[in-house]
Amino acid sequence: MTINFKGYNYFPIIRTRQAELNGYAHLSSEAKNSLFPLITLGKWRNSEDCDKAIAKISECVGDRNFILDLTRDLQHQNQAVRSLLDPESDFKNWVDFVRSNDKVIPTVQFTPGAKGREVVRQALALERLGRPPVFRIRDFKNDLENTLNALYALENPESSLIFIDAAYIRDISTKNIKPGVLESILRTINTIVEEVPQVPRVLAGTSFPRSVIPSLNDGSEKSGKIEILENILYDEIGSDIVKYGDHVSIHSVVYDDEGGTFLPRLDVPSDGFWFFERRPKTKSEGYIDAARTLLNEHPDVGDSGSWGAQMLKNTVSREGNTINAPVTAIAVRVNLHINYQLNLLQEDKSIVEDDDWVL
Amino acid sequence: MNLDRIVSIISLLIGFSGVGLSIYLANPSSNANVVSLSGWLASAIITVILSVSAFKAIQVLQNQSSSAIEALQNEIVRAKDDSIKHQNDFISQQNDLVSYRNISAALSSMINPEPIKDTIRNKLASYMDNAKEQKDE
Repeated sequence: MTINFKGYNYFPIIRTRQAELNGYAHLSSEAKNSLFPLITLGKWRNSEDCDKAIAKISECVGDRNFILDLTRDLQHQNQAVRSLLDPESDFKNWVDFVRSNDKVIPTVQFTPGAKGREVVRQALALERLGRPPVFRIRDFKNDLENTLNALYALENPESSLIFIDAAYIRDISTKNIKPGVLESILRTINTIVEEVPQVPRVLAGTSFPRSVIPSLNDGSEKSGKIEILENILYDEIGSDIVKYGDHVSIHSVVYDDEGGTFLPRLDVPSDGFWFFERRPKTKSEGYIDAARTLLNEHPDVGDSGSWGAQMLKNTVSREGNTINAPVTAIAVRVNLHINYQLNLLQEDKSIVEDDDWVL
Repeated sequence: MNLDRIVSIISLLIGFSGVGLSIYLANPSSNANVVSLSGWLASAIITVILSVSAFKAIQVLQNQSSSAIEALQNEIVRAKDDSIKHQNDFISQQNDLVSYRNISAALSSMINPEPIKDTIRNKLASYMDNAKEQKDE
């Protein structure tokens, strides 16, 4: 199987959570064809196997290929995921799993405690299946070393893809990009192009915060905006060096306990910001007013023609499917975000059409 | 209605009956007996008024204490939320620390990223040139 990763501009990272997958599932076919998702497999609700999650992914992607990774977050793992992460016999469980799912483009697993030899042999086994291995670098030291060692051993490293996942890039106090992120990414890329310049690279990160409260407008408990920093980071590094990826407006850090009460909140991306409207002390009826305000203040969102935009309109008019719970609100945000990024990257592409995108 | 109230009312009725019976048996003809009777009646009325007001006061107290307990419960929930929030903040900070450790000399070096970007671009261009040359050959 040959995948031309260079033909795609957008590599969103999506987790196997209902809200995220629903947001992706409701994209148009055209949108789905112009991006290449990396899906992080975790437990699906309380299921102890991976069948339901894989079935849901297959339902969402249709007959398209997708990159599949395994979650490292303990809270999202179940017994089946832990078994797939097991490095025994050169990650036999994972290789067998990939073999039996023909649409999967696998990431090479860097399970903590796995030996370098096991990782390399895993990558070779995946390549022998005819699937281009994808390397997701989260730890800029150990993962990078494992990636390079495996790439040296591959027959066709140029078919692979390196995914540099910077995870959460916002500094909590300054609200800007964390100091050192740009530098560490550039150093990582520099090492990669020094050793394996033929391998395409994707840079992914997210700046969507866990809580929007610090981003409320002055004196307001209802409205606010959050600057989208992943685009700024990508622009700073340059589209000739990396491809764009992100976490589809999802906060990337998993916490021990996601406690607390949910209140109605909607977020829409526009002009480099996520604008949000929240309605404290209301229940599901709060979504109606929040949607109305967002559509009035950001008419471009309503005109986008996406499923997310239609859901906002339905919520205001109270017709058809409407937003009345956080899971739908997140799905709408994910859907709007992916469409927003696709448009943005399309605009960028038309501006730099004459530039060479160097492998 | 609880048992205490029933007992109180029965006691009161027995008291009234006792007074009535004693007046009937004494067959009062003097004003002293009338005065004595009115004293009894007055004390009975005061007892009823005091009992009713006591019951009312107990009810008010019960309402107040239940709202105080509710407020206390809300405070406990809020404190628990705060504790989770702080726990999550701590996890965020731990993550930041890991990131910082992963990035060597994060805060101290590379104020200007342009030189390393140029280096990367040069390496990529060099690779492209080599690949092109090999293709031509």
